[in-house]
Amino acid sequence: MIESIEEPIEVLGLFRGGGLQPLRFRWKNRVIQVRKVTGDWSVNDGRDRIYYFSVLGDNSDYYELSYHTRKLAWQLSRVWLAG
Amino acid sequence: MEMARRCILHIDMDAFFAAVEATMNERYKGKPLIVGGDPSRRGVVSTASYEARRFGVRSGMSLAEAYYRCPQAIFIEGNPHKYVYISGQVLRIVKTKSPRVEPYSIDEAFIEMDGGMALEEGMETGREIKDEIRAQLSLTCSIGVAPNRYLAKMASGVKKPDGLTMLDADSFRRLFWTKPTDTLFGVGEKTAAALRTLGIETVRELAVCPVNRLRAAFGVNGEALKQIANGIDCSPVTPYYEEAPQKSLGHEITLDHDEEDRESLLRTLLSLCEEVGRDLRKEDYRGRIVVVKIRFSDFKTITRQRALNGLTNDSEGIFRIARELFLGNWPGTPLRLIGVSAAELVHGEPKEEEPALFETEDRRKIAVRAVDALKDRFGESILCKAAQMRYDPA
Repeated sequence: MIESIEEPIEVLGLFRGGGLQPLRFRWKNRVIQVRKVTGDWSVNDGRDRIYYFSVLGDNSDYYELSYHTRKLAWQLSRVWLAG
Repeated sequence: MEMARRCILHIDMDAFFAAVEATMNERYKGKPLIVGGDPSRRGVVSTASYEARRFGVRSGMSLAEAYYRCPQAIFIEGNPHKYVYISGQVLRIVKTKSPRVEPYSIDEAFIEMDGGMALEEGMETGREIKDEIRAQLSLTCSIGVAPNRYLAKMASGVKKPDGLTMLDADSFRRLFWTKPTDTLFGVGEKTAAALRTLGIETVRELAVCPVNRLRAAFGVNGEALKQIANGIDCSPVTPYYEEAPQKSLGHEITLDHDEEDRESLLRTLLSLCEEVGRDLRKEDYRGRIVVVKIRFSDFKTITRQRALNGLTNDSEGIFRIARELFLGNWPGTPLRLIGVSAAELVHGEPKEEEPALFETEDRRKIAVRAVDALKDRFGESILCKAAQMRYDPA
């Protein structure tokens, strides 16, 4: 079941070739390795541009991360965890 | 006169919203997936995966019925931003094949190939588009290739999902003439029932029916019905950069539960008017007519409209009219849906703007501009009218 989280998180990301890719992030004192980025999209909110990434972690747990360019901040938007 | 040879492709993404979700979250793959929201709440199915469709779940069906038919399905909220973005990615691929691309909806588009291209060549282009969409986005689509828009649209539905079908007038007749009239795109249940009263059951019977008889029953649409039954369509593909001006712009909402509280309904109506006004101003349109749509709990739906003295994109002006229309036509019974739209739109500044009658009107315009500027900068949720908020003394 998808759950809405909307919590700030710390992310290690790679800026390369004009793109951004989350590599791993910390949530609830746990470091989650991004196994695969399965999709990305972006949304304008006023002058803020928010980049979303759907990623798979361990056990195929599903996360949606968002990077807010105005605030230079990451959020965990939604999750689907195993079990 | 010989018509110029045309080659038109219609691309239809397969179960688009569900497919996008399944591409991003592998837990959804191969499972019945229904995009629309929590089935314990109100709402309708936006898209169902093919696995869910096997249980009879269809777009537009209430979520409650979808749950009844397929309780084991995964129900999720849709994410329009995600789908619009991916739709843009699809169009980006398609536009590499021809500049004449007309987005028809978020998951459909028409593509007109260079003049003189044979349908067989169009099939090759269709194959390339399918391959590129699969490789770059991991999505499938169905494509119809035909000498006109209507046949292309019919062709894309022949084999789904992941189909590629060529249809000319001859193959259209072979394939569709023996079928019931509601197989045709644009012929719904009501039209098919009306055709049956004329003794017309099949597409062939519609195609050969004298046009005068159809005109007598359906007016100008009678001729159009005969044309589509013969696979005739001369309408152009209008590329996105030559887009026809919009005729109306509106918003509607299915309420969480059947609502009969006057204040709550007026609050919803105000929010809808705010959205309509904001969209009009963003797109630089003004409307001449305000339309209110009301759907009762028994699904009976009415629309009422009123013309304005001039043109407006002012949310408050729209709300004043919408409120009168609403209160004048709402009998106080529970409602399922409310909608507001502005129609007979005119693009750009009016030649002569009517002078404000009261100084407060000018002041309000300045305030509206300031609010729009704030929303442009910080997003739509930065502020709203106090009257849009629910008063909770606790």
